[in-house]
Amino acid sequence: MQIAKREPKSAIAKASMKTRSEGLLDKLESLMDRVTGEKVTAETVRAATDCADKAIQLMRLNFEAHKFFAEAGVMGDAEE
Amino acid sequence: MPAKWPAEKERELRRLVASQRHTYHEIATLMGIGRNDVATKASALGLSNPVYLRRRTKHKHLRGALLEYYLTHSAKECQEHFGLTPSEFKSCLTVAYRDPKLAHIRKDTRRHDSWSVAESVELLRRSGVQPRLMIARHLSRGGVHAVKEQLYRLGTGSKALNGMPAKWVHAAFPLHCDRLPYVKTSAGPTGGTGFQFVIVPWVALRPLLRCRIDPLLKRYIRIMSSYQRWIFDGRSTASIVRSIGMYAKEKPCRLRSVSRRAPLRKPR
Repeated sequence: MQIAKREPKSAIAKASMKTRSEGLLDKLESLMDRVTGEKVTAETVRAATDCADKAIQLMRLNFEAHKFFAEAGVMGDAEE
Repeated sequence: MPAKWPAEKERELRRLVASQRHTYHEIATLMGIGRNDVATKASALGLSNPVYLRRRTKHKHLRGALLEYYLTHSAKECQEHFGLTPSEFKSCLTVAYRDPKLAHIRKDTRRHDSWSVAESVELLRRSGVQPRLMIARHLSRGGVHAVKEQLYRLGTGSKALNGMPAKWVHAAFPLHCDRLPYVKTSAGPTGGTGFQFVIVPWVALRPLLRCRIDPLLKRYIRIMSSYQRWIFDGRSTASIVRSIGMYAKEKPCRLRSVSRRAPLRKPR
């Protein structure tokens, strides 16, 4: 009799759940799409620049996290 | 916290300040209270009293002449010419600058009007590519602080606004980094380290979206490249890269990747 291998509950939950970075990126992407569709005004420039800065910060954080895990030799998900 | 004043006393203070005949010092003597209390209360009530400044007549006869002489001479030369101490010179200039009759005599050529949208966009195009001082000079905005403040108002201060730093590029795309147009900017950290940022403009990373790279990175590139194209008025990739290279006073060059860089020779 063959026993089906079950995945642990936590892994299933992880697969279905979006990481925090992805959630933030969704928001940033939609905001950037909306703003860049508009004309260049003081408000849109401020909003777009703020959004771009947040994206850079997030990217830097991801890079740092990956670097940290690579240096520590941990094969983990930096997003958790 | 200052003690609460009775309503009558407040009314009296307002009346005396509005009459514009007494300094705070005199008002304090008239009301029989401390000088500091009067000044603090007047400030809290939003009152301003120009009487003191109007009465200040020390070096009044020198103000116009000093401003004109200062146009072509240094502060030290002015002090020697008029026989003023550094403190007196500074004080004289401070009061002279407030005189509307002397507003046309200015050594300072900085602009004090608010930033227009076109200027803000120009600032963003050059941010992280040129030193802040160069940008300030280009826009006639004084020094680095004006540029820093405007960037703060716009919600950024990042060197990576116009391109991904080369270090990140090598870490993120080790297989593709040879084909990218690098720009060695003239911007860098302050302190005279001599280091200059090397970036790859975001729009130039867009072809990598077709390659097999991290999906998160793809999304970052999409966000930043659409931002950069929007800031550059929807121009083509080549045009944007050329502009950034021109701002950096250098043509975009192709660097070799870190992994394929030739090892350094040992000195004999």
